[in-house]
Amino acid sequence: MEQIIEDLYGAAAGRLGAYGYMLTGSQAAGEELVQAAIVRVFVRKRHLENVAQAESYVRSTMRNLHIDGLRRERSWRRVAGRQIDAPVADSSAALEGSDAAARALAQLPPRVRAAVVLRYLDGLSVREVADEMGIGEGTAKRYLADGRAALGPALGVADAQDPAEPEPPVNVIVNGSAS
Amino acid sequence: MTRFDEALRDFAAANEDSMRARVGSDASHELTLHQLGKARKRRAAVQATATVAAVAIAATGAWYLSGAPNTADPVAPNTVAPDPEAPVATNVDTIAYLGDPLRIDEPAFACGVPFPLEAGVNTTAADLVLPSVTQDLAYGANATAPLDLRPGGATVATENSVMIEAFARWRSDEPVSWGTSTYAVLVDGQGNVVSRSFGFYPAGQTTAGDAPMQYMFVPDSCELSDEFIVNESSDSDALNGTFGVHIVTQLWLDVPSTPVAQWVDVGLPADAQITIDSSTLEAELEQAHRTADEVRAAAEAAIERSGESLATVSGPAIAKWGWSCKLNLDLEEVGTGGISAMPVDMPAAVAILEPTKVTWTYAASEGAPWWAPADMFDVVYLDANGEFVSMAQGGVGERSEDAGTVTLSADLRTPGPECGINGVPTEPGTYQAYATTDLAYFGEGEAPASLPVPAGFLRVLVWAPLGTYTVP
Repeated sequence: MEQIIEDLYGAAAGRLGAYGYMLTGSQAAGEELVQAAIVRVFVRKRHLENVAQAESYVRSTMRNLHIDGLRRERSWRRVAGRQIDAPVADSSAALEGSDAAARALAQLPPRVRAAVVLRYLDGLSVREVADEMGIGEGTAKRYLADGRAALGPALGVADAQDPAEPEPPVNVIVNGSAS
Repeated sequence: MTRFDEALRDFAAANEDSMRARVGSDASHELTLHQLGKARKRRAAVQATATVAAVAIAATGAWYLSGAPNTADPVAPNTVAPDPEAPVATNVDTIAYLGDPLRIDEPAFACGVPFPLEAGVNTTAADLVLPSVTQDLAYGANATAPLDLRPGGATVATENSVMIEAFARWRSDEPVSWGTSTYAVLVDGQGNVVSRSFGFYPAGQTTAGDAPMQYMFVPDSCELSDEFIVNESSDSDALNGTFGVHIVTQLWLDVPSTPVAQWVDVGLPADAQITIDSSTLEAELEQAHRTADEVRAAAEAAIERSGESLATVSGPAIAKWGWSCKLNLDLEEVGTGGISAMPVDMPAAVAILEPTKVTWTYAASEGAPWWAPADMFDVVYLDANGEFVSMAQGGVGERSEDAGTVTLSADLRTPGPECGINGVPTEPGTYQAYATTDLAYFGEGEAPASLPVPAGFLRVLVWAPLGTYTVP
């Protein structure tokens, strides 16, 4: 297992780091996310065939860690009882670099940024983004629209549209309700 | 014309080289391997003490929620008296960002290096100038925004935790976003950092704010404390001895990652110290375990009185799975026991609207001695024998409040792959579905009859039956 970790660093450090950066908006926080995911994945014995599989696993774990972190942070901030629709306090480091895209990415609300990464980097559908993040589909669409509006100009995309998606089929029946 | 997704991928790819340099650096690589080694050691230790760890999670998590010292703890608190000096006041005509505010994860806070800061206000009025990036805010070049930091206090609630209260107060003519971050470190006799902790940060948007900052401190040797993963304290690296305490408080006004002011040791007397005796920690855990057993017994009695089947509502495995996935912990780190299931007696109605969507309506419990994070709940599915089948993780839902009634609607999802369990059942059959959420009870002597919880505070798992769920 130690060898596959070494191979993972050699082959995928840049890709995983960039993914962490995109999720968090901060190089430092992105680096931490990679570290945390590697620890989480390799703390137990796993049968990983090759580096590509390990990379996929670490990437997936990064996503889950990040989303669950956002979820937990939201919960605890509610405990504090001080939150009044303010921007989420991003614990990431100061803005990396000075270019417009980096600045726009860093200034996105964390949940909006996560939705954008899941949709446009990971290629998930809007429905899947909502599922992954544990939010409603309407909320996901709003996050994505906000993200496109904020990032599009900085990325040189004048009119960032998202194609509409069909509704998934419903194929089970539910009985009973209320307590 | 460039598509948005293509442009975003290009941007990500353009950052690969710089991130490869960071992530692939020897320092980062070695740190990861070091953390991995510690995690493996901890995992081995936790597997041997899983039950105790789960109790610690429940007790200390609720302590965190309670916002008050652990009154149930048999050890009398040692109190560090607040600084009697008048509030530290900085009149700010204009505001600027600190050049390089410290972060807890920076080398300056690393284990073994001297704590880098002197007590006092780290920002002077002369340092504060109007930020050019916030021209749309209420601040004007000539506006006066008095910025005070009132001394608070640091209470050593037990030998292994610290409650800190400090207050950042500021005013402006119109609402402005603000928030605080708090770091704490322990230093040894040579002034070197031996442990550190990161407090959570209240935030808001208002014209004036008082921001008490509270957090617990787990005496792990130079580990960032995660408020949930308290089983770190079972690590053999737990500290023993007397250590100096330092606190760094940072305030941001409109950009969360960029503080405008920083204070050191406000509210602490000079040479504040904390004494840690890990041997007492074990006694505390045992006491917490006994308390949890009492709660569980009371809950089971209540469930029996309600006519529900114990087999279907209090299986420890269910609590284990639910919590492990919700908190993203390894299953083995949670173990069984320590978290009790009990029926909720909030006026509530829960309904499955469609296979992957649930609503939960309950009366807002203003003044109630519990707190329900009801924007997060999961659904557990049992078979006809009451055996656990699957769990679907509820997301943060759409929440609305109307005349004291909270309505919550959340989509369900399959937990992450590391949880190893399925989401909404897809195999044909009929299942009993229960909505679950966690409820923090922190009242003392004011528990409603429906919550048979001893005085103190605990986290419990709340159940609400949803009826049957059939997959044809």
